[in-house]
Amino acid sequence: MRFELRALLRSRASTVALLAYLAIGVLAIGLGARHVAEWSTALETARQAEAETIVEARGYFASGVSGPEDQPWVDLAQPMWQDRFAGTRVVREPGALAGVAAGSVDAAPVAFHVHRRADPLAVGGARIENPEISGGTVDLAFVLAMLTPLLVGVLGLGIGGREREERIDRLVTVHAGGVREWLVARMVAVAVIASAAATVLCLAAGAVGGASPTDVGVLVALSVAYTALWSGWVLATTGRAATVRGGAFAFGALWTVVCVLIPAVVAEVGLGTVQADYAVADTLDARALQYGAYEEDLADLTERLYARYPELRDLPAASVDELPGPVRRHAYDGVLVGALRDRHEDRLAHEAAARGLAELASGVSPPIALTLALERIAGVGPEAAAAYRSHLVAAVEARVYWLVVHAWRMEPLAQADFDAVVAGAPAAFRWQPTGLLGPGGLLVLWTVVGWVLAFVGLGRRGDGVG
Amino acid sequence: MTARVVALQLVSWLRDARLLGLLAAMMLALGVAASWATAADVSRQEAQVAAASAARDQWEGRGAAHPHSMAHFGDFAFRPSGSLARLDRGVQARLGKVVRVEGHHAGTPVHTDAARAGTVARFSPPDAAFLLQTVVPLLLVFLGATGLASDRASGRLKLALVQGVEARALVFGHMLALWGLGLVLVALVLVASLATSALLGAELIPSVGRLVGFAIVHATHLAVVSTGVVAAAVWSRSARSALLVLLAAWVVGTAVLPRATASVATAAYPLPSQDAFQASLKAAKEAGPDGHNPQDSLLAERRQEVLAEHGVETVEELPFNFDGIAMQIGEDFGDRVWDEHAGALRARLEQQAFVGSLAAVLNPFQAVDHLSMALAGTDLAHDLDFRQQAEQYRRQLIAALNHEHAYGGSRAGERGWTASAEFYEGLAPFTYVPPALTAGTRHRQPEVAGLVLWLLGLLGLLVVGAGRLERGQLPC
Repeated sequence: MRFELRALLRSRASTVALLAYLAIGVLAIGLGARHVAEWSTALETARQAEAETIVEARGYFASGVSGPEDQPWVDLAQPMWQDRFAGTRVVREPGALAGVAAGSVDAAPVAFHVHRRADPLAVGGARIENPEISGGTVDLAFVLAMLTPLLVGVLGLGIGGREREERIDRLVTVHAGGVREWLVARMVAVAVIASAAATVLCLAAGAVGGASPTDVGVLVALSVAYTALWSGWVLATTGRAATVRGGAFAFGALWTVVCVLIPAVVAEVGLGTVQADYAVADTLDARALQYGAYEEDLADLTERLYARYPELRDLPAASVDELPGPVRRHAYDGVLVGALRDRHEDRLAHEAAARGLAELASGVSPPIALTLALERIAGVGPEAAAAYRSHLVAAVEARVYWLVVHAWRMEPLAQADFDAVVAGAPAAFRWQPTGLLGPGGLLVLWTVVGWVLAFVGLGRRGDGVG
Repeated sequence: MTARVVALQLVSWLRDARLLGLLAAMMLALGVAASWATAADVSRQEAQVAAASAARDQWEGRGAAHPHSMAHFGDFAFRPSGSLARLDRGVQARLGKVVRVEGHHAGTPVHTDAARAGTVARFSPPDAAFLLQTVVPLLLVFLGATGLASDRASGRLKLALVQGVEARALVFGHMLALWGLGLVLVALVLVASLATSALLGAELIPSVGRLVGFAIVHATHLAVVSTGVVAAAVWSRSARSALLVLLAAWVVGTAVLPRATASVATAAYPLPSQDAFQASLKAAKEAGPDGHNPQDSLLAERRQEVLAEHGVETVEELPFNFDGIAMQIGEDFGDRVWDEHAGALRARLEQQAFVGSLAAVLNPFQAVDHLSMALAGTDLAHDLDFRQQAEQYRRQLIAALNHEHAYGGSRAGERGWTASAEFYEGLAPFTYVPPALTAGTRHRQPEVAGLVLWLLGLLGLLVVGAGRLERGQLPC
């Protein structure tokens, strides 16, 4: 260990690599913190917008008017207007480690206005992105997944090759008892140094985000496991090299294949499956369903509504001959929200296929496994976005149910009802890290495979060296 | 003599089984990537045409309807694939594919491929341009850094110089051999893509100018790489140090600098969040007239002017429908607000892109990436152009509907009135027309300058290096 540390300090390239790794890591943590700050600002903007409409509505109740003076058709005694003035925003709280995966593709907003016609499937992400630069975002997930292997590679390039190139392998055998033990010891030292650097970054990210010790512990465990994995792989490839140059070639090829080519091919396959998808289900089909409902015979429409909400049959509106306009409009809402649920289920099925591809790919590419795990810890990325969207669809369904039931009661609403809507707004969404065992287990498995290969390989090589 | 060196170099590559295998693998990868991307792009184009056609069917299928009802029914603008997206998909995966077109609101493109592809969309897919810009240079680095070095190590270089061969002919021979190999790979990509298009019955060459430009830009970039590789080999003491320098340059050029540029551009010109942008837009629009509100004080003023012009007391007495005029007044105000806010956002995006262009002057890998995207019609400028055309279409469509609402024969408050199905069929659908080659690439002048300057600079370095080699000032 002491030998390797001394060697590191003497080697300009190693020192520069270590410092560059830490500097880029710090930059990534800073960018992640800014992402979380922007997220928090967006939540504040949403909460402010909600508060403004609530204050406005309460003002009308206090002064005994039904709504704004210049909009006489507004009547806060009707469910539709209480829904509008409740201004309900369902927010998505950032997790303490959200900045770790700030560069991930996350197509859900962070705050959403829930109302009777809200469509959580028709909105994009919270960020306005410049597509020419958003692909190059540096986040901690990138640093850990892509740069950690480079750091291990640079620090451990000479292990094996240099001993043979400088013909000190026989000397090592004499002094240390065997080349394999010596090389393994050197690589363990490199792994410790690289792990320490990665751990420093993880601790810093946790401290900046105010993460719990458990969350930070998981983050550190993953990064250490990943560093150990690459240490084993580097030893397996460079440890048998006859020269440093040969080791460099072998490592370069390994890194290029594992960190660039395999993820690129998987990305190609993933994008290939969605390229021809023009979201027709969420655009043309959704509109056709909406206008189809408007043109449907009212008796058929209400039958569909009763099939969905049988309890409506017991409410006053069920016994009137012709539904009044303000009640009828909510019959459409009740039917259309069912279509929203169906579209959401379809979308979830497509996303499950994309997730399946990522999980499959993580079996052959540790950088993908680590990225998947980090996205799950951070609560940023496609899975967290889908979970939030599910939360929103449920919120819209609940709101529409409230509207339909109150419309079917055919009773004017009061401020108490409005206050109840406001108080009953859905809770903020908080992502719960899940599914870490799969990618974590794969990292451990590949670590074991790498080290075993290194041991076996060095043992064979050792036959001809010692 | 240069031709002989080129031929000698080519023969030495062909004799080396490992190199030959590597070259064959590279050619196979390029051919497969180009064919795969072309086939995917053809199916994407077909899907776009089918979606646009279905949207048109829905529009015309509405039959007779009230114009304002149709303004809310709206339309969808489906983003077509870039002209040469089959060769370079650029940022297309991160762009929304559909824009909702309706009254009162300018649409934002949503439904990106990246969002639907999930976690794996973080990584760059290997289209032909990615391989030409990233992997082929790596191949040239490995071939070139060791080529001249082996001449030097074996003593052939010294022998040739002693026998009177000009050093300039030798180094340019090595450079031309590398560049020639690069050109063959560029040609292979083009042929594979064209052949796939022909096999699938798709349009063979969407734009001759863009295709030629694509070939020239990549040929120039590979010339820069070839020159740089041989220059590094000439100026370095050993193949190992040349290789280290070149690999470091490759990592910095392809991975580090683009990300550093992105971070600098984001920090220098931050963008608002979607919520903040929409909130400011909403607040600004609320200060203007609301076409749906007959009691709107801002509309009342115009209503009185119109009533006075026609010498009547009420809007019902007017020979046209004032509601349509009120709607258009609201639209005009909304358009001005949008122009102001979206204009500021666009300016900010262009400022960020300009930071990238400046960085591209220093980094030929970014220069070729930007130029290639621009030629393929898959860069930010083409995205902004699509958005602008979609918004222009929205304005024309809604203005035509409001005009029919006002002057089609209805009177104020007549909600049951409908315009004929023929009227709606007569309104042209959205068709995106990509900008002409010069207009679509004009903003990439820094990249062109960067690439040319790099080529000239490295050629100069090579000439000077050859001179020094001949005079024995560099190891041979």
